[in-house]
Amino acid sequence: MGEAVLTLNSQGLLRVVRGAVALAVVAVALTACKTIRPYEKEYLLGPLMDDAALPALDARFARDGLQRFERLAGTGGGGAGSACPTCGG
Amino acid sequence: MKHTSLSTVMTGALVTCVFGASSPVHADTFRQRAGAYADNQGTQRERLQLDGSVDAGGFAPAMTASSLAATWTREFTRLGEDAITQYDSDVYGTERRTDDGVNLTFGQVWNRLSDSRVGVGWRSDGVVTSRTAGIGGGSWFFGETFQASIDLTRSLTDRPRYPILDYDFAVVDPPTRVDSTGVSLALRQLVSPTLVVLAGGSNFTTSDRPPLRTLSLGARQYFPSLHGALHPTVVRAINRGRVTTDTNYGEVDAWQVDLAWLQQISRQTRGKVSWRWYREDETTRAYGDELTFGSDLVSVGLARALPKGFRGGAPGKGIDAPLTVEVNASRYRTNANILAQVIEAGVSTSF
Repeated sequence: MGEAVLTLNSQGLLRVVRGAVALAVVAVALTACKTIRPYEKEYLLGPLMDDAALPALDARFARDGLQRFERLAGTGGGGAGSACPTCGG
Repeated sequence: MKHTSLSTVMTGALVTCVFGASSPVHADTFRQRAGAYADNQGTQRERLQLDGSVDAGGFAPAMTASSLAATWTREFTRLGEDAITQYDSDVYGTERRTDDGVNLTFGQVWNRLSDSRVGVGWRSDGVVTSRTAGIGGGSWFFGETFQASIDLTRSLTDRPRYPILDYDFAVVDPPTRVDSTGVSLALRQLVSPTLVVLAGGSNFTTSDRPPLRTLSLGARQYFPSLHGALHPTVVRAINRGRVTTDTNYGEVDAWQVDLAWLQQISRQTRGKVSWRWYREDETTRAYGDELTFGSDLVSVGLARALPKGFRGGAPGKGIDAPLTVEVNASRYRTNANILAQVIEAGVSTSF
């Protein structure tokens, strides 16, 4: 019983920690987001920073092939896209 | 490894979205790519892939642009003697198989700062077939420095019935149809003139497995003096909960670390060196045994843009559109004594 309660509390604590981390990320993002002016985005819009412009350099076949050995390959990695706001990316 | 074939086909079909959180491009682009894989188990695979994206313009009020993208993939596999399982022999009846896949995505940009997309996908090897549909959208906020995207995906997979006897003598009999529904959230923050921070999370519910949750954190740091950029990413995936005889592997969780360096070598040439580390821990259903799988992947890629009119001809006599030639080489190694090499080459063009 004690172990069950401890497990439950640990899981609850883990959720709280995760929520706090998520909120911290959003808070930092909202705080920091006014620091970049449009004329300061030269490097950010470059091809080395833009995931949407990089498929030519991706080993896509190799990565897809991992799914035959790894059960959770291909999950996560959210956030891919373009760093160019006014390009619609 | 006895369950590998069925489970990996399922997982790949279920959790791979048909499209990423990318948006329409303002040009017609076409890419063709070929790849070859060989490993020390004697397995060989070859893949052909065609990608096309057509700029459909902005045909509705407030629509800045739209595009229709299609991908077709055909993959030939010949399993080596050491890689053939009883499942392969019973279900496929041969060491050879052919995978076909098609994805279609229609994307739109609204008022330049928001985008939406809808996509469908289909994939089959003649025995296992999966269909996926998805819808998503995103927008930039706060002076175009913070982007949030959300995607919803639903997949259906059909497969043959194949019951097996597990180590505890329970009959594991996965259902012939599996459905999965998931939501993914992606955040992007332009933190400084040289730094982008990425964060993402997803939750997938599947009819035969515990929910799959992932969290990812990444960065893109540019170094102006080196003309290069560092791309680190960490992904945590958790697929733990009650496991029944509907599924042929136990509870799993995984860590994945990606580290890549991208270099502008010359005005037309870019290079990439990347390393990926993966660790997967499994607790089996039958006796709660703890198993660990580990792997790493090293890749080197090179892309060179060939200007319009290349091949020394005057404009109009050479190639009429700029081309990009791309090559990649990878080496994959696991703690299950699998060592594989992959080579890919392709060419793309934009109009």
